[in-house]
Amino acid sequence: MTALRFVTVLVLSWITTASCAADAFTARTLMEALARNKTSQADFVEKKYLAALNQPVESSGQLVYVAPARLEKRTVKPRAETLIVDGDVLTVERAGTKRSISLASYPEVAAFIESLRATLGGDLDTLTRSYKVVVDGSAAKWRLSLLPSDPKIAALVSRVTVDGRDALIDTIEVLQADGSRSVTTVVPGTGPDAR
Amino acid sequence: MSDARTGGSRRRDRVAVGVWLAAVAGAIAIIVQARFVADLTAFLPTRPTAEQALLIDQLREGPASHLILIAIDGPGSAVPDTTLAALSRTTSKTIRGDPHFLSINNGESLPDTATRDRALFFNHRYLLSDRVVSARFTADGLHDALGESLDLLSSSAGLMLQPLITRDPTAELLHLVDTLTAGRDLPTVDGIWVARSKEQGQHALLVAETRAEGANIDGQQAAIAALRTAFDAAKREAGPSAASARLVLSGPPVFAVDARNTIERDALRLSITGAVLVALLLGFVYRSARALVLGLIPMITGALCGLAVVAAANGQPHGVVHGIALGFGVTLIGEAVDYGIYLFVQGPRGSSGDGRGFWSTIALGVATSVIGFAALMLSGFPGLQQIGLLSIVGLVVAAAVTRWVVPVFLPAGFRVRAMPTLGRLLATLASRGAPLRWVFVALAFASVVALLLHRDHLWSRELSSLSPVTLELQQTDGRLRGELGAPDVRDVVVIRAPDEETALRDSERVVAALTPLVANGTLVGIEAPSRYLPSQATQRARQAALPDPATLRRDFAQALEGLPFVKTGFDDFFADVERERSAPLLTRADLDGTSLAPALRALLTPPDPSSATKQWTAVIALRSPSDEGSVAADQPTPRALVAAAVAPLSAAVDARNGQIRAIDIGAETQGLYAGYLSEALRLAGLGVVAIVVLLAIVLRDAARLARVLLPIAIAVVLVAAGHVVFEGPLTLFHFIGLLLIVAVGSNYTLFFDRRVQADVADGHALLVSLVVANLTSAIGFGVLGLSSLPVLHAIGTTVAPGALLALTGAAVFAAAGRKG
Repeated sequence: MTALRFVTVLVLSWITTASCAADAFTARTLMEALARNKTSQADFVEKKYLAALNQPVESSGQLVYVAPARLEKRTVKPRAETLIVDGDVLTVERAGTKRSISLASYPEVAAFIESLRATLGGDLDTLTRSYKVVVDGSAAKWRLSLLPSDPKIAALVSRVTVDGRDALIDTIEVLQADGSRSVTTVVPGTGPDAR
Repeated sequence: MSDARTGGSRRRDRVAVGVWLAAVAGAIAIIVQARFVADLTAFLPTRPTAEQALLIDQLREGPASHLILIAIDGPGSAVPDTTLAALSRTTSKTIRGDPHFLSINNGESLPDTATRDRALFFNHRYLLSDRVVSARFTADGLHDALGESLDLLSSSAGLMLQPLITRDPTAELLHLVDTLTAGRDLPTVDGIWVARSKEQGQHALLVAETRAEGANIDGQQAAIAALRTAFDAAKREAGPSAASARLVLSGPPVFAVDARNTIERDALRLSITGAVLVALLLGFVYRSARALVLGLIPMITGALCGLAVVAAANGQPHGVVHGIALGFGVTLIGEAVDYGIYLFVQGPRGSSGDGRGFWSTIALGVATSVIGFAALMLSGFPGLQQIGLLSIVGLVVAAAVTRWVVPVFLPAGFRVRAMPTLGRLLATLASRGAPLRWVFVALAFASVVALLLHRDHLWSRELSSLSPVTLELQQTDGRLRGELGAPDVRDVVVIRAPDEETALRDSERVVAALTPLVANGTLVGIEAPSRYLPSQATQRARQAALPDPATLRRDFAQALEGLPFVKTGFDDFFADVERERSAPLLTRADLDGTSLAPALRALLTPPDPSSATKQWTAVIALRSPSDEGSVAADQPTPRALVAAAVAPLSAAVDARNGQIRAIDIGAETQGLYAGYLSEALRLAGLGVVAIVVLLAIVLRDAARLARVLLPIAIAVVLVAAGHVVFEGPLTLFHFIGLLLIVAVGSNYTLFFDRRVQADVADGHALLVSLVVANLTSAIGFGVLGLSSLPVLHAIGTTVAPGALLALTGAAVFAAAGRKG
């Protein structure tokens, strides 16, 4: 009895601890951890899986994020291209021509970029406005799934899955509405400045 | 003469009055129908070179002549940027429904326009894309194109291509979007152009295109009024946060309207001020309302007849009078009023020989002035011709009215109150003035030295120095042009062709000839109409470059080898190519409602229905690198390279009565200015010789000739030197002012000469009349000097001191002559 009770308590406490641990690692906890990243730089490799292609196309370069609103994607291979989002302005520089557009003119793109920035900046409120947010796993290895609830985004993207450890993002997978898919692997690194 | 009127002289009076009334009535009838224009083009030559003619056309009617540049300013950041964006959006929405405007662009990507653009590009991608040549649709060409598309797919830009890759595997749509819609790189707020600058804070930017022709100032004025109304309504709608927002406008239509308003307002306000002041002075001198009214009759009649003759000589059925000529007509106040003064104060007494002497002196003064202005009539510039004609007619008519009409209305023996005290004082002053002549000579010498020292920048080289546009508006224009990324295009190639197709084909030829210069960096870019609307011939060639379905399928399958594409699913691509091979060709109408329409309108203009030539005009704008100065001395300049590239094409089309000309707008404008300035100076030189010859024949005495000419010459030199030293280079208007000094001054010196010569009994009255005449000139022209209009300001500040100097000089040298 005593022994049994001890075991039971032990088991229960383990379960409680486990469930406590699970409760403790909520979307909010993850977001708070991510929000501590004020600036981050990383190398990326992006693979796109398209219906029209038998094998993925690959591109690579650097990513830079400066909280709260600046995002840079500097593709080096196979062709140099720089994409910068700063506030409302999206600038693409490619083959010597530079072109800026206002995100307000493209609401779907704006919503998607907003979600990226919200993820990187740990802004849960913004995310829950447009997505159903699900967090699995533990602080050491988590998965953030974003399922669009905003029809504008749903027309473009069916699901975004972000995998990471602690405050670091490892991969971002975007499943597009047309069935194509991109997987971006992120390696915290030197970033463009230290090259 | 009035006390000894015979039946014959009464008949003559009746005829004189009848002719005068008829002339005034006729003149008014012509003037009320005349059109007054205010643009600078009247100062461009009537016998231009081919390049000048094209330039003038561009300035007068070209597409840029109806662009309004707009800023909505929120001074001191008092208006939130979102409110500025909202104001821009609401104003634009109203203007898009306004018949005065063809288009307005505020950065907004309008869903309708964007959809139409995309539909046009997508449906006609194989007709529009310059990459469609037969080599691209061979197996090898397609293989390379697919390889490029693969790279694009991996990029962010590829997101747009991704859903279309099986239908547009060569990515023509993306290419068209890249090349045809490369828009202005302006910052936006809520999708609306909103810029920030240190001086202006944040402000929304817009560009509107009016429907009226550039020269239709009434139409431009209505459009500007509509724009202001739309903005005011938007401001009310936006509420209190928009309270301090204001509309800033610039561009050729605004200049034209502003210039016309200023000319009308200044000419009216200042001529009324001048007239009132002169009338007060004359009222004091004459002490007779009748004399006052009679004294104004020669001036008014002269101005009316001058304007009417100019209007009648320039265009049918409605005469076109340049605003500057109109403003100049007002300046006749100063001289024509003098005739009345001479008549009333020193006038001819009875029918003695004295009267003949008086009238012959007046006639000689008129003849001198007429010769001076006749020089302008020989000019090749309509603006100068108008000024010359107006002055000659005005002065001759004013003198004739003084001679034959005014005396009819004078009571027998009329004479204004003598002013013996003033007369004596003046006589004393005049008799003691002789030593002053050395001061004059010394000043004249110093002035000549000053003019020689400034000889390199004696004359302003800027055509804009004649512009009636205020400096403030010119600065606003510079600011908006810079911000909207619409810097003045300096180099263009202008094409004239009998029809649209030829114009577009010529445009394609020019682009082909200049493309190597873009590739090697001599030019930064070429903006040509054929880019937006390829010629029918080119479209047909592109259709011919597309393979038949069987060949395409075979070659495409081969092209896919070695690439990671799936092998099937490209049926839509094959269908689109097949459809495009026999699709109707694109015309201008197909571009309606797309963002390409305004761009094409700006570069391709149908013939002006009112012009006889019936030619289409295409403009190709060239963008040169900004660091033009970096070209090594032994290298040809970009301009020379462009000219060399275009020359063979020019020669080829000249044969078929078309035109292709590379024009450096800046240099052509400068050339024009230098041309008419040197012409005006050359003609004035002839005029001076003619005046000297005339006076030499009439006076037959070297000493008298010197006495008449020296004071005028000295006054001209002193005034010119004063302007050059204290105000900067002289313009055409100063030059006309100097001519007026000759006209006004010759009266003074001739009367002084008469006083010395005849030693007229009533010498005091002569002096009084000259001083009064001089004061009226100084007042009339001095008031004009207050104007902000370059023409009135320059003439006023030249003639007023010039008249004073000429009279003083005349008195001084006459005194010396009397002594000697």
